Amino acid sequence: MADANNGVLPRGVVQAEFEQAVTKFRALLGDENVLVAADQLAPYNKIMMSVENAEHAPSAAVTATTVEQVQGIVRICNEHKIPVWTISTGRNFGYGSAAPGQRGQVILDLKKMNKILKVDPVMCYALVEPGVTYGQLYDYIQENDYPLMLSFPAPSAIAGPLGNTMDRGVGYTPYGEHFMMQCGMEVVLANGEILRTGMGGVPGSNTWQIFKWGFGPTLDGMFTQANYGITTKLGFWLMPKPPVFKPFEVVFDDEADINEIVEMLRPLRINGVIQNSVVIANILWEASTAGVRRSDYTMEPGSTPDEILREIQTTTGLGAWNVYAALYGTQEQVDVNWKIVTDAFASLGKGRIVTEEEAGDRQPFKYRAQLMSGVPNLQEFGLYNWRGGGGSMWFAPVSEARGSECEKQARLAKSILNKHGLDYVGEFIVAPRDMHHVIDVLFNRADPEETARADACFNELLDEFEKEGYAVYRVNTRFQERVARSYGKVKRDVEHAIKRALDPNNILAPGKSGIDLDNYTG
Amino acid sequence: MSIDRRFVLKSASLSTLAVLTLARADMALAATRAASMNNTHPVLVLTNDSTEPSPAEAAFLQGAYAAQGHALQLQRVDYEPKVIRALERQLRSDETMQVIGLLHDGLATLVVDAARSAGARMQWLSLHKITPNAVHHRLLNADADVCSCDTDASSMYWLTELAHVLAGPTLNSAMLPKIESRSGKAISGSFVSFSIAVGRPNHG
Repeated sequence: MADANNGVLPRGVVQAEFEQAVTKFRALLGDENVLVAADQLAPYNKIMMSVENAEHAPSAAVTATTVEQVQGIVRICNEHKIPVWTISTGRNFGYGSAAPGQRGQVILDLKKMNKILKVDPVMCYALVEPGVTYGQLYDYIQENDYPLMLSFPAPSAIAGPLGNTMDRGVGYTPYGEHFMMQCGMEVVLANGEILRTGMGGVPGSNTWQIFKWGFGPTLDGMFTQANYGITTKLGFWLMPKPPVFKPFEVVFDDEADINEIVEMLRPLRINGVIQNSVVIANILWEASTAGVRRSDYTMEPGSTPDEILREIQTTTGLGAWNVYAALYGTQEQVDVNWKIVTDAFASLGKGRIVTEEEAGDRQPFKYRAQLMSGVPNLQEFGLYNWRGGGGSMWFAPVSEARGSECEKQARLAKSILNKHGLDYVGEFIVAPRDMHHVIDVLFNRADPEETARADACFNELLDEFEKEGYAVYRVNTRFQERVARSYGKVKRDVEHAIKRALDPNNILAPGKSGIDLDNYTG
Repeated sequence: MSIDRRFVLKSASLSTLAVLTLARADMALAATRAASMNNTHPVLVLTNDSTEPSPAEAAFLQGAYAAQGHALQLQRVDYEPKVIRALERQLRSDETMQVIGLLHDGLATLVVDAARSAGARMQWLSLHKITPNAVHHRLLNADADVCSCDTDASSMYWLTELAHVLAGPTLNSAMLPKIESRSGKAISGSFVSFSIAVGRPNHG
């Protein structure tokens, strides 16, 4: 049995107090579910952010298998004022991964709570525990031959629906706005009570995963990206698998085309001709997921010059912008919509349409088509090889789905990144009215100077975008406090008032989204 | 460590890095091996999905072979979900095994995550960025020191030494092969080296 001594303690907790808590964790969970040795905790600490690992080192990690154990953990944490950082599958890569938000927090890893509680193929919904992965759910649906389709983010095979939805992640199908498709959750509160949202509080109800709103205030949203409770069950709707799925790509050669692309796509999205979350990905995103590395083209430090970007376009056949979308429905519906889509692109007078038949097994088309049809894959991890060195932070500002706005954001982001010697590796995920403008700030963590530049770059991105009225929808744990400030004092006051009411000991993930009773002074 | 205890070694010589590397690896590995039976557990080397190893990977493999000889097992990993799931099952095994490797960042991210998910013990984890002019290293650990060293980029010998330590029960430098740097050919790449202990810590 390892000692409770890896040299890291929770904030404000002395060694003796911590060891008492660890002893109680062991009694509750068993030795094998209480990790305190350095080599057991190391895999939790492979952060990708522009700070030292030490700032996000856990003091321990505990794994629970039942809701009752989660309640017991919360009780022990209250008794000893131990802050606990909960992860579900721990695959929030680039947003903090599996590491705690603050040094010394105990990780509550819910990977072993991985039961698929229900999949209803008629009403088209699922109810799962936190450790269930999309890959696991996909296999279950395939094995049972259910005519259902999943929507998931790019680390699809290993990420999970509960964690992704609670962090308000998105996917690439018509059900791509995951929180919109969420229906009913079970939450262990800081006082140990169990809350079921929506219809879940009604004894005997069979509509928990059917009707979202219940009665009175709808509470689900306040538990997302928050630290007011530990979600132990999540319901969400599943899309019926369409008889016909037709993915396609449209390749645009000029970086300046983004304005026209968005103006052309928005009406198709708003009127439902294109139902899924369309992606407009830039050259470096697509090239790196297809296996291209920066070192294939240049060894020079700094940002990659535009001439090289054009060279990559030439050698790979990829565009400056690459649009991926799909049509879903019966053959008749798809045929009609295909004509509308192709007519729209023809009227634009630019853009090369690539069909699935033309693309074959070529990457990145193949994995993009899989993401849009609910087939899990891991191809997008190739992004990390573009520059190498293990640094990755998502900068994800929200934009209007308006061409001029997207062009403005793309130019601004590229200029800031290039100024700091880094590359613009970005994509827009197109909703009817908004864009998730997702930029992977890739850097070499093995080089302290480059890491410092990446940190300065991320701060400047936040500052300069804020001056234009933009803010991100999600951010890694390094910058949560900074981003929370962007949304204003009143919102923060309310968030902390709720925190004081629900978690007066501040034990649940202090610092998540900038909510921390010990740090916030109002 | 506290951040104050962090040490950053700049412009360290190759030999300094080697000593540092060996000392750290020995310390980490010794802890587990002391608790293991007879140091006879198998060593599995995970390799990238490329058809031919890069010079850096070749140097690493030679070091591992020098330590383990033909008992060494090689296993290729790639981005196929079934491959990663199968690896996670291996890492979850009760059978004692050491899993080492020198992988590109994307695959290494998946392997480290699989180790966490499987509850395996990560005894060594380090980033290496190799350019024609310099090599940067960053040693990662749960609360480890950060070692950032700029070293000579003209030789891959440190990779051979590193693999030898990670794969072998004890360091026997007499067994180390001599790896010549490839003159005239720019060596570059970004890698993650790791050593994962699989199986129950207190049995053989």
